[in-house]
Amino acid sequence: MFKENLKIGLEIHCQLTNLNTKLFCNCLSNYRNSLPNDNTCPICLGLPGTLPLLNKRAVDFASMVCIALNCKIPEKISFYRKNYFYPDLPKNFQITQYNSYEISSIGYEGHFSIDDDSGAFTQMANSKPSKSQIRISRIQLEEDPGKIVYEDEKTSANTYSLIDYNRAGVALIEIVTEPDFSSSHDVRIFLNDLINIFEYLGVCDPSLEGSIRCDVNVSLRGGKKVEIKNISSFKDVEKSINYEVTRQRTMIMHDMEVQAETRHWDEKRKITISSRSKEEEEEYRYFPEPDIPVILLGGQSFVSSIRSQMHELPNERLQRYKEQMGLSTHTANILANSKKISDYFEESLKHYNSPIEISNWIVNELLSKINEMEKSDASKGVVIDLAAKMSPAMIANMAKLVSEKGLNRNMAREIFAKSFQSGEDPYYIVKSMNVEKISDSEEILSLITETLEIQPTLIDQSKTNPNVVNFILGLIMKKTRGRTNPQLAIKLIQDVLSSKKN
Amino acid sequence: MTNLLELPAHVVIGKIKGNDLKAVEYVSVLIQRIKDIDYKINSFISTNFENAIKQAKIVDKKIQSGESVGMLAGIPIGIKDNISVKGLRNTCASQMLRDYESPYNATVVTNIEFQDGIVMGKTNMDEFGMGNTSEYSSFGPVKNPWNSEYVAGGSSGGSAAAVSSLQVPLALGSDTGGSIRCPSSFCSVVGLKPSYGRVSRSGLISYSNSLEQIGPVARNITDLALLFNTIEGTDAFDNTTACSHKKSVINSLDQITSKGYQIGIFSNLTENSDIQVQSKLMEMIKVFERHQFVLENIDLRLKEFAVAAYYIIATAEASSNLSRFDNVRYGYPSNPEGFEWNRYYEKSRSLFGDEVKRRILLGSFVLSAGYFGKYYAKAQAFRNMLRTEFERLFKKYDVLILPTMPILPIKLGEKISNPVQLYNFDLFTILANLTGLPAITLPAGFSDTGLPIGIQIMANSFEEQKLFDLAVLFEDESKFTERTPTI
Amino acid sequence: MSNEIEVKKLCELSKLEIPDEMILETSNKIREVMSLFHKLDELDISSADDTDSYGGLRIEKSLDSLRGDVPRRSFSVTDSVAKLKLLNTRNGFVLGPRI
Repeated sequence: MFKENLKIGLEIHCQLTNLNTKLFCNCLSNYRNSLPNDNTCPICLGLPGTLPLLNKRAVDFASMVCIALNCKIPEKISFYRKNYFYPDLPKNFQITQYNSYEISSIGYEGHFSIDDDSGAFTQMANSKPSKSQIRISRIQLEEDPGKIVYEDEKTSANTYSLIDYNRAGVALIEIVTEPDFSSSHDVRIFLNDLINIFEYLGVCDPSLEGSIRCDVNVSLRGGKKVEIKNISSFKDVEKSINYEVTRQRTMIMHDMEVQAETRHWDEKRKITISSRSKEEEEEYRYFPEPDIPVILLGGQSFVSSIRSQMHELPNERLQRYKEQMGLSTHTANILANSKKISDYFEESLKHYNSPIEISNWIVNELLSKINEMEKSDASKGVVIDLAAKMSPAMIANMAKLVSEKGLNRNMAREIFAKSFQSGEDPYYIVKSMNVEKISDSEEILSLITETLEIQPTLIDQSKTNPNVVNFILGLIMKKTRGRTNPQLAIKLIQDVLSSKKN
Repeated sequence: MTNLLELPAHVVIGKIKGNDLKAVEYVSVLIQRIKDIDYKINSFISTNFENAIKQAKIVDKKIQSGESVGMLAGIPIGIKDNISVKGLRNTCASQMLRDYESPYNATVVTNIEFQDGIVMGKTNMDEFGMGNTSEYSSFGPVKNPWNSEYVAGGSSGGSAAAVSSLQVPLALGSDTGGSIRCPSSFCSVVGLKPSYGRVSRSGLISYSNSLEQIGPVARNITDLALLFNTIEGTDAFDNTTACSHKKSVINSLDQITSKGYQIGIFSNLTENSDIQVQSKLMEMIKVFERHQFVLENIDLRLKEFAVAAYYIIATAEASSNLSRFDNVRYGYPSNPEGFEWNRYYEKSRSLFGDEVKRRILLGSFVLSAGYFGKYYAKAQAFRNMLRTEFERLFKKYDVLILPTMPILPIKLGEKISNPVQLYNFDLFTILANLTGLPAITLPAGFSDTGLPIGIQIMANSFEEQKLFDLAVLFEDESKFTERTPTI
Repeated sequence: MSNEIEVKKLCELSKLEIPDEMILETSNKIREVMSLFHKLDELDISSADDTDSYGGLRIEKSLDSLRGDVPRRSFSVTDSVAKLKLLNTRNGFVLGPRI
């Protein structure tokens, strides 16, 4: 394919849902369970005379995200007013941060690497797995507006709007990237990584509806930048980019000029639509918010204190899994890419410190079982909690049975399946099935002798065919329903055969 | 009866606490006074009589039962109508808010009630504080108690006029560019613009946040200190309040004299004032000379840029602050149904007065793309330069003296159609707002036509005590509290 | 600079409606004030201490001075939202104009 020079930049809005209160008042950050306008107060309704009271913890949370995305954190931060009218905006200005006149935002000049590995198929020519560096231009703290509800789905059919200010004033961080993405696939990887980081840091629950929103800007072959706003689901981000690329490509093919404009994503029709008046949007008349002092963060000591409060990050975990525990990249990735799974893994290790064995059980057995269940009709759309299905202690016992009691794989799988089904601890299942390994040399020797008496030809064959050892083991296993300790049996078979050779 | 009206608040408090006077009696006398004369002055937009009586009875009951009472026990106070009082209309003298009732108390009001002070009513003002004559009120102009053909000054004209005409002994105003000091000067009362950050702005409907402070208005310096000490201090509802400072005290004359204050007189500002204003300033200087204070003439640099910088910042902040008045969440009764939202906003916001509209437009202009650096940023840079200039002066002088207003009170309607000329009259008062410094205006006498003249004293940030000290000396000699207007 | 057209644009930006017959007077008055503002053109700010700070005399506070993340009904509005006396409501929603 010829070079299209596709450039994509992102503006991601993420609610700090794990805060207790809004950014500038003591109303609940969790507005989702409230009756309309019940989660409001004079401050977030912008009543005359009220002043914003900045939430310290919001600054801490935002700083964590900045550190995770390798942003610089300035000595001081300040807030600006972005002036525009809209009925969901109680003060008709939004308190935000703005870097045109000074560094006011909590983070700036960051960067984040994404793994292109899994996307190697898109770049056949140079199939070398690579990392892409995405520059983060800034991360800013700001307030969410309220919500407009339409009685009639068709917006224009309504003669009035209904406004719910419960969301107004909820703390948001806006992450702005440079246009460093060259494919919608990279965007998806980045967004997945980002969600993962939010979960690790415990600042935002991405599963809550509307907690993360994304604006995208796309330009092709050095052409004008088109912004796509209003994409509320991450799945649609990729779709909207693909749609926009196709649209622009078609325009260029027909010698039409791509206009710099703002387009809206139509969720239902899955297309982008041009939205009116660009020039008005540009006139935000930013100026420093006089009601919030400049906040002195405290420099390096502040950064290290935030750092010390931060949960281990996904890439740090991945590193540790690979380097200290010796897990394969594949396994380590699967674990670290989900905080839930890797927390489960960490918990299991507390019961039995055998990372490789346990990680294999989780990745190869537990997750595939869970996957099957989630795909089955009975539990469609239900997210199954790992720990509820099988506790970390149980999976640790599973691993322990295999590596300490010499349980064979097939038998172990059977026990695992039973345990998964019934919720019973594998340890007790083994007990009740009487499947503990036969590790007694005398008993195994008599089994070998018995076998060779039935098929004496095996002794001769063993002189030329090394596979005979395994064949005899197989016969013994069959007889003992797999309970024989294989390592010990092989050693004894070899001993017996070599004694017969002479 | 008349005697009771004229009594200083601190004397009244003593009587009430000592059971010589019932709070309810005192409040009733003042209510009657307001009913009798305020139609001639128009200092109140709304009153709180019923509640005031109730509150007074509570104070009396406390005293009867030996409970302790606050330092404003039983004292009715006028509150400028841009300061929120729970359950009372809060109009800012604007039709936009003519029916708006505040659901919460401003911190200063909470503090007053905590000290057993009583909210008597909401006082008239220029709409949203934008003016210096109190003529830009949609509830009619405030008239000067000393001569009803003249303006009371603004924008806290109602507060100053009510105190001056013995309707209340104390009132709160707000001062964005002289809005406490100008009317206090025109009405011959004492008014203080505190240091920026000294008094909470929570509940004050913002006109220009970075310039303004709530402050007290009184007929004498002791009463002023009472109200100031009640309202000042750090507030969790206002992140711009400073950490606590010492409460102000009324020192004895000897104590004050022994401090040997160094005083600077802004001669280059004084020169440009009405000749009668200049002569009152000279009289004040003589008083301080008698106390062996060092007085020197000094020039203020940069004065020529102050008015421009002030109005750029004030209009910029105002244009944003007043955006919230769209009549969707609160305001006056109207039905938005059927209106396209842009149209609805234009229509609902047409109830702003002309001067307010002009300032919003000017503010939008100076903040708009491409002009920010030329106007707003430069004006802010000027504030820093001016502040540095004052800091230079405060290295040598404790306080600085200058007229409050360069002119005598003007006639009603005389200048209303000439905004720029009115803006230029603010030069002496806006200096304190641009720099965040405290400034007090003291009644310094009357013109040959019987109109009040006020003189201003400025101090370094959070050094209000020096202002109180000099005011005590001057009050003692000039007896400015003894004259009252005949209504 | 502040001709009639510009005043109209400012009106749009500020959501203000100035009747046609008032436009001329308004723009004249605004022009007068603008000429007052132009005085600043003569000001040399190269000596200003803090030209990179556009907030004027901005107050600085430490992070620790800010409020904690504790839920609480603000001010004296204790019970229901009805106390806020919102202007027009329908089923708890604020009734707004058509979008």
